[in-house]
Amino acid sequence: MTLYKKILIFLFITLSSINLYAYSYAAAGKEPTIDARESILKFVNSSDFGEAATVFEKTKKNYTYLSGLHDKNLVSSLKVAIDNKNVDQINKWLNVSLAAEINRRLDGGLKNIKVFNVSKVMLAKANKFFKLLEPSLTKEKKEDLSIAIKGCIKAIGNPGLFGVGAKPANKDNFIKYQQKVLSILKSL
Amino acid sequence: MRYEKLFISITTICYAFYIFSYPPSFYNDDSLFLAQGIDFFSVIDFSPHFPGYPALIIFGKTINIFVEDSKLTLFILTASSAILIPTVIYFLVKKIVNYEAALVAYIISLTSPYLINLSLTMLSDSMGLFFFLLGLYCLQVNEDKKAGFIFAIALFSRPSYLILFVLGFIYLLFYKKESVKNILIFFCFGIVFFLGFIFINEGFLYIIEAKRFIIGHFNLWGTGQNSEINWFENIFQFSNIPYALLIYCIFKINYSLKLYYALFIFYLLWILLAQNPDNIRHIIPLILLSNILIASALYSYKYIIIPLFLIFNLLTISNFSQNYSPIENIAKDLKNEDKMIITNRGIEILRVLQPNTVIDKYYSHSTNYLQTHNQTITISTLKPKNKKYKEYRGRFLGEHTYYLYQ
Repeated sequence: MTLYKKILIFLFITLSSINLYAYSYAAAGKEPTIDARESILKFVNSSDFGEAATVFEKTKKNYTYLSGLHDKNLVSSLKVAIDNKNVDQINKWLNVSLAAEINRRLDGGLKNIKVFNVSKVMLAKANKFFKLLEPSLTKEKKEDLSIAIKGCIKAIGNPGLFGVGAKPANKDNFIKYQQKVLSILKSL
Repeated sequence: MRYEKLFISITTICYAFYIFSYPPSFYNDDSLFLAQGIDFFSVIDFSPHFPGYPALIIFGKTINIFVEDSKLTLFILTASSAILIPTVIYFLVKKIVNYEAALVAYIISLTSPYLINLSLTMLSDSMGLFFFLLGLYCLQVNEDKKAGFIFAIALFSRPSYLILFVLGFIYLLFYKKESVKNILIFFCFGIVFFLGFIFINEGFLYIIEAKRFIIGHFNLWGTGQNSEINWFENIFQFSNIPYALLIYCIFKINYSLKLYYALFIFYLLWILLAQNPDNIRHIIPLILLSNILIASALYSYKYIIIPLFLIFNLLTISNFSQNYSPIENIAKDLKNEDKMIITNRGIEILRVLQPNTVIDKYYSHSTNYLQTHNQTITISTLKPKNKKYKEYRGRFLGEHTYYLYQ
């Protein structure tokens, strides 16, 4: 067998191996806030608040960061809720952490509104966090939040195909809908 | 000769009438994403999901100019592709072997329960296979330029059949060197065209989504599946009993079919090692290749082969009577809008069809929390034990039965 043929066979096997991981379904991505929420709720569900506190301590840095962005009480209140074994409050503050992520992504979307690609990624992520928060919202809040996030997505415009069908970004509209989102998220 | 063509035309039209007597119904979230992609293409918004299926989307957008209903358009496109597959197999086998083998391959493919799966799932499999087989036919009749572009359409309709293309390319290099240049040039035209479509629409977002999807999501969703099926069960089941005849093909190798033997072996290894047994449709390329091999080896026993396949195929098909997919039947039955739905099947379909809050069961711990604090109903493909449930059967071989329970 010539070297040429050997290389071809090697390439074939390599390409096949790469494609082992190229098929999948839809799911939200790996995010520290989602992973931490799942871990804490795992122990809360089995009333193992000691382990829930351990997970909290390990992920405290992320919650501290989110507190600075969205609600300064997030870290302290979540800690108190775990220490007091208050299941409802733990769930409430974990939902606030999801709200903080939505806030963070919308903020990123606004800062990058002139860079369509970056802004769109930010808003797509905000939408994924919204879907996780959704079951804990009232019907009215769910609908209002959905409309407001869609408003932000629309406000970043669309570069179109070679400029055909392009829609310019509307920063004022973005801010208007962002304020609506924040007013709902702050009320959680 | 004229009568064969008449027979093929009439039976294909009859099969088309049978398939289009079904209403378009989403098989899973992927089919919903493809329909949404026909309306508005954006891979990052799962419209459709990665890798974007640009050939299917372009064909779909073209048909949708006239149909103006993306769900129906997707059904017309994917079902028509499936309906035409046995005809392409006929012409392919006729060219390689003879008309008798071609007719046997046609009949056992047309009556296959797997063809109904391909016809009704509204996924990219049917279009990918139709164009792949059409490309093979063009290759057989030395229409190399057409073959090159058609292979590009096939790959960008269903990129996860990549292994078939890599193997086919190696075959060309070893056994049909004179065709490589023309095929490659026109294949590359196709690549530029379809990748161009993706990057004009998505820009570098496509790379971001590709990275996120491949690295992050493969394992996440895979662990969320609630199925106990394995490939052993899928392969060794009632409907596949006639395929025991493949053993005979090993002893009677037809060297003009060496490409098809290679495709069969490598694709078999591929699904055993790398495909999710939860989706029986991954076996379909293997079934079609088997039909070609069996018909080519055993066409002189056609009066035994055809009735044998017909009995098993028709008995399997007769087990199914539903018109709509289980997830759409469940959506029709759900009356209480206040109850949360817990599921890891058809999440986005339910979010589109139902006003209820839908909880993604993949997030198992937050799901457990919500389940204990709210009124919920659960959808699963696992039969619940010690609970009252309602059963929703699939429309065809490979569509799971769903169970709905409190």
